[in-house]
Amino acid sequence: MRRFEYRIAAGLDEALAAASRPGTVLKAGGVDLLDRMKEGIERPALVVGLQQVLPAGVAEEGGGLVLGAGTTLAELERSPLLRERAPALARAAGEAATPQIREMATLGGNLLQMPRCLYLRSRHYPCEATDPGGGCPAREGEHETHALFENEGCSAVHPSNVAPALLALEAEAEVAGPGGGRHVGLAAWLGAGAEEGGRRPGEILLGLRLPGRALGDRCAHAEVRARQSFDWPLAMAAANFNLEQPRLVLGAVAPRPWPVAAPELLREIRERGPEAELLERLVTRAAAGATPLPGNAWRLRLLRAAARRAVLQALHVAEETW
Amino acid sequence: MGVSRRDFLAGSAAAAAVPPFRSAPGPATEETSPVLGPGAAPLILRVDGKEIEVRAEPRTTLLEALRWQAGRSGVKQVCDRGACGACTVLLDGRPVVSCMTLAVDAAGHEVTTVHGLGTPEAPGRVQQAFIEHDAVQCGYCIPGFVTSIEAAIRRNPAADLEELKRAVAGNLCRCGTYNKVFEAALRASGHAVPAGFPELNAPACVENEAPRVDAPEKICGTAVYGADHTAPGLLFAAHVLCPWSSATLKSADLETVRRLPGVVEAEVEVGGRFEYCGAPAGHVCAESPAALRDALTALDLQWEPELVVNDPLGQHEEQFGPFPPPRESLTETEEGRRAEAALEDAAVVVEAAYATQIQNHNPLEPHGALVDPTVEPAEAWVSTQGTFTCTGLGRRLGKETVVRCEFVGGGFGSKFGPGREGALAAEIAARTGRPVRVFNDREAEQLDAGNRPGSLQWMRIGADAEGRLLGGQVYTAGIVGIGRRGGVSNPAWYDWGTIHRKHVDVRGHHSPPRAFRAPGRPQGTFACDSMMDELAEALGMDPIEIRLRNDPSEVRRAMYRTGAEAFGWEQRRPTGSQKGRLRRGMGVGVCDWGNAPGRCRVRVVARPDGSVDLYSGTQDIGQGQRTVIADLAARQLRISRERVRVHLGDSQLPNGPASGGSVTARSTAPAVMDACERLLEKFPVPLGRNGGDDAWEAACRDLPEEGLEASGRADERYWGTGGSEGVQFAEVEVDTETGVVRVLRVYALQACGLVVNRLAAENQVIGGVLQGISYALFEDRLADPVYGYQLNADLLHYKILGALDVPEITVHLWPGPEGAGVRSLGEPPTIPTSAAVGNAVANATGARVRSLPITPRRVLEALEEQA
Ligand SMILES: Cc1cc2nc3c(=O)[nH]c(=O)nc-3n(C[C@H](O)[C@H](O)[C@H](O)COP(=O)(O)OP(=O)(O)OC[C@H]3O[C@@H](n4cnc5c(N)ncnc54)[C@H](O)[C@@H]3O)c2cc1C
Ligand code: SF4
Ligand code: FES
Ligand code: FES
Repeated sequence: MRRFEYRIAAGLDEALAAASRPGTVLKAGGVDLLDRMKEGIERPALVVGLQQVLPAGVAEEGGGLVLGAGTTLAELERSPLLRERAPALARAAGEAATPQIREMATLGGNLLQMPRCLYLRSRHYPCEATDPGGGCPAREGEHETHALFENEGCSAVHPSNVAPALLALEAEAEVAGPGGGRHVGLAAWLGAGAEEGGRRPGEILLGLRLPGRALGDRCAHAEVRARQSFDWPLAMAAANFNLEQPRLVLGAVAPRPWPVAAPELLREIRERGPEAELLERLVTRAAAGATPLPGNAWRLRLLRAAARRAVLQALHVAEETW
Repeated sequence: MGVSRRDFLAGSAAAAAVPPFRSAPGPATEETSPVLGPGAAPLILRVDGKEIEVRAEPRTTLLEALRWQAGRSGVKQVCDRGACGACTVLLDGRPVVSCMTLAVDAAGHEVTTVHGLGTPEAPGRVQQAFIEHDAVQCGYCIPGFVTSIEAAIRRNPAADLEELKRAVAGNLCRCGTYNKVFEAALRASGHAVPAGFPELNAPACVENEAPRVDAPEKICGTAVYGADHTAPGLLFAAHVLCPWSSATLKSADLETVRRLPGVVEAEVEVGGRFEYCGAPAGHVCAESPAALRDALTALDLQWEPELVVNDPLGQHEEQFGPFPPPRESLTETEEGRRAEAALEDAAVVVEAAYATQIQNHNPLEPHGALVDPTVEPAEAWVSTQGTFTCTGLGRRLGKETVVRCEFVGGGFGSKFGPGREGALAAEIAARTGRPVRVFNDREAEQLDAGNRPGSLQWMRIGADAEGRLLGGQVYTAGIVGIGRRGGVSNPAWYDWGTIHRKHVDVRGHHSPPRAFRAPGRPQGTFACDSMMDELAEALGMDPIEIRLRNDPSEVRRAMYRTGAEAFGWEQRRPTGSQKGRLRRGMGVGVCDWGNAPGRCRVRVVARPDGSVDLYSGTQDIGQGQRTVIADLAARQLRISRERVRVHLGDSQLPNGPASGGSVTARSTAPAVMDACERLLEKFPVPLGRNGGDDAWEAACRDLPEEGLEASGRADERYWGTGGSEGVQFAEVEVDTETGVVRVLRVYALQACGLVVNRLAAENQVIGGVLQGISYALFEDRLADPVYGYQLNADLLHYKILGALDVPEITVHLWPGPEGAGVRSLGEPPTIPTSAAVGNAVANATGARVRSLPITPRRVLEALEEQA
């Protein structure tokens, strides 16, 4: 880590002012930031701590739930409200990283951490994602864990464990920016360009709202990974059948959380139950349009498995029965 | 401002009965908060109930502050990246990794370290349970485990096994002590659990069942390892490493670096060409760890990498032609023709190619040394598995030097000699006259601090209809990088018939291999035991049956029968017969080990107060050397162990072997027995025939003040002869939809002659098994195929098995014959595991993975091929 100045922002205005200044980075739990600084790929002159600014905790609001951006993954994992009304999220948080990291990592930081491409994370390699013109060493190199979709340019996958579940729960982001505050769907904020509501420079995530219509015990998160103790998922999926229009969102397969567009199929599954043939159609749909790289096509199988499991678990059907 | 913290909260505040948002005052609209740093400033931390003042820059981690300024060296630095849990502390009761926490952020919070949970004299509840269950080997990871369990039990005093396992899912143990940790954790949360396998193994345990003698210091964090030691005026140095397979160093900004405050030396070989990832290209020395890191960054190295062949198959092709070689090339010689002729009567001939990966040692305490010329005599605190392999440091320093290694955080074969780290420390110390510390960071540890060479193996073996092996061809290649000696023990263990064998070393561009726990054996055994199962399958024979017909070892033949029954082998289903998504399979693998004791001397002194001191310069790298000496001395002198003190890890003490080839206990034991016998002979008043503490105390009372002394050597009379046979059974569950393999249970039978200490012996076997599973399923040095940098040079992406990957393990210690003496135990139990796991996967699915590690990808590919 290089030297930096450090300030713990006393209020949101101060944090917002800092967020737009060059050479300044914000710090929530600090796990990803310290990781990057230790890797030598982040060299801020000033770090501004958000711990006094970010709301933290899970609470009921109207019929829905609000989650402070400063809530730790451990708090999400343990929250009785989430375990009851949004089990997919509690599970996704509880499967992420290690117990110690979950005590430190925040909801906002988890969503906004930098991807885990090992080239990007190594100071030894130039890379398109951080210095334009650097090229992508992963393409010819090691890309087993890279994206199966939208991978023409940078193929690093979105790294957040909780993002698919949040999208399946139709989370809405509450953000503060230099120009004021706004509410925006999390899917757009994470994945779209600035014109379509995507993240704008200097914005701070304050929290997320989960609408009442999305809540209930018919949602689940499933992931596949090689090592059980802690490991980056090779594929994950979150399914939510609480909604009038059920949702299925994949993770670790694209540069953003990856919603599966299969509204009729999902409704049919909710009505008729997860019959084998319907499920097969669904997972085939989930994998449709994939453009795998030479070294990662095999992960399509895992994507299908994760999708199938998330659906079965959301509908409380034991996996062994199919 | 449209949205404020308050607006956000407004809606929820009323409804939020559970749980309320943590609120903090946040009224400021001006930029009023104070700026810290970038330089150091005083900081008050509350650590273990006391206020401690440190000096911290904003970038100083809590770990650094605790270790280097607050005297909390029980909090270990291993990965420095949040992945191993060795640095775990409680922050207001929550377990966090202190390496990813800024010290300034810990101010105002209550920090609890392992030191705050108890002391060796008065251990805390969790520490006490760890001690009783011998939940420790080298001990380097253990304070982190203790702290994580403490947090879990504070949260739920009656936590169950599942919860406790999850609580340590972020703690890595390289020695593989997990099962003992689980036992201890259960005990601490109020469950009654036996320590190890008293019923199975107590009969084999001739001497002691007490926990190891140094458990309290290690578990309470007061044991000082080489990497924990410090000295006034200490300098910090490190090598500069080439990240590429092959590259020329074009430039380095030495001028800037030399002008940086705190930089003492900076040298790099500009213009030099370096031929492997991890090759040393120079060094930097500075006044503090931070100044050292700043200097390394400021060097701004510019490399010109070159394209070379980085994959083993490609390297083999380049140097020896295609792998496997065409059969004609193997039958050219007389020997080759004879082996081929032996196959003429074969009922089956199986041909198969196997591959094993490069595995890095990754002891949790990194390689390194602290050389201090300012004391008399000079001292070298080295993390080594051979005290006397480091005495050359004195020559480099140009002065008499004592090597110290009282506690060593694992080595596994990679820590013979002081290494280039020790050499650098001594050289700078000689130049500057100041103490110098050189300990690798995890990247350096991964790039060039030891690996098990990879292998390519091809076998063509025939057997007759009764399953008797007739012979065949064995071709092996060691993947050695820039090193040598990639030997593979193939063929091994069985009577293979007429074999023609050829081995080549395939050179490349990674760091040289070093001895790794049972060098060559796990690689060879993976292929040999896989081949045995493939032959059995071809013959329609049970894997145990074919082994009984070809295994020359009487001990193992008995082990197959006993083990099969205890394990439930008869429930093994025919290979490939299962249809469901989750399939279970069983497999078996074997081992043996033999070695002659090395030279060793031990001194023993009986004191008038009835206590006894034993002196040996050897080292305890986690195997339990201290305990073996104490228990054997107590046995020979017929007194209780509490009277015995052991002194080791000091080159001024009597000479003994390095811990390699599993000979430390084997060599020390005869010397201890000899010394004790000589001591007894010297006693002025003969002790009664039965001995015992009272008789001993009475006999010692009249000894002179300096005590009564005797010396012993590894006398042949006391040698343990014979082998250390072993058989392991494994059961796995394979998820055929994802290719994920989980090992459910392992039954390990292991002979080791005289079992000096039951718990320590069980621990060695468990550790061997777990390293074997880690090798079988996870570990792999992942190199960029183009430029050859090891991309996973950390502990996040270089995967070592963790708590949730640990199966139930039964250790069955096999009693040696009367008077067997102490045999080897360090290496053998890690040999059979990967083969047993591989065979179990094949049994479950009918699809065999012939390359390690057995990853989801390889399982899916094997299933696809079979379909
Ligand atoms: C050993 C290990 C294993 C891991 N395994 C997993 C895993 O399996 N799954 C997984 O998902 N993650 C995993 N991680 C990553 C970890 O979860 C993230 O690093 C962590 O969640 C980041 O959260 P943080 O609060 O510490 O973020 P920070 O490091 O504080 O912030 C991350 C980034 O987001 C920005 N930021 C943070 N909060 C806000 C906000 N409210 N508004 C605007 N910008 C903000 C910061 O400026 C920074 O750039 C692992 C990490 C480690 C060390
Ligand atoms: S995948 Fe993306 S982050 Fe990784 S090397 Fe390529 S451009 Fe960089
Ligand atoms: S040293 Fe902190 S987690 Fe490994
Ligand atoms: S005891 Fe865990 S690493 Fe050695």
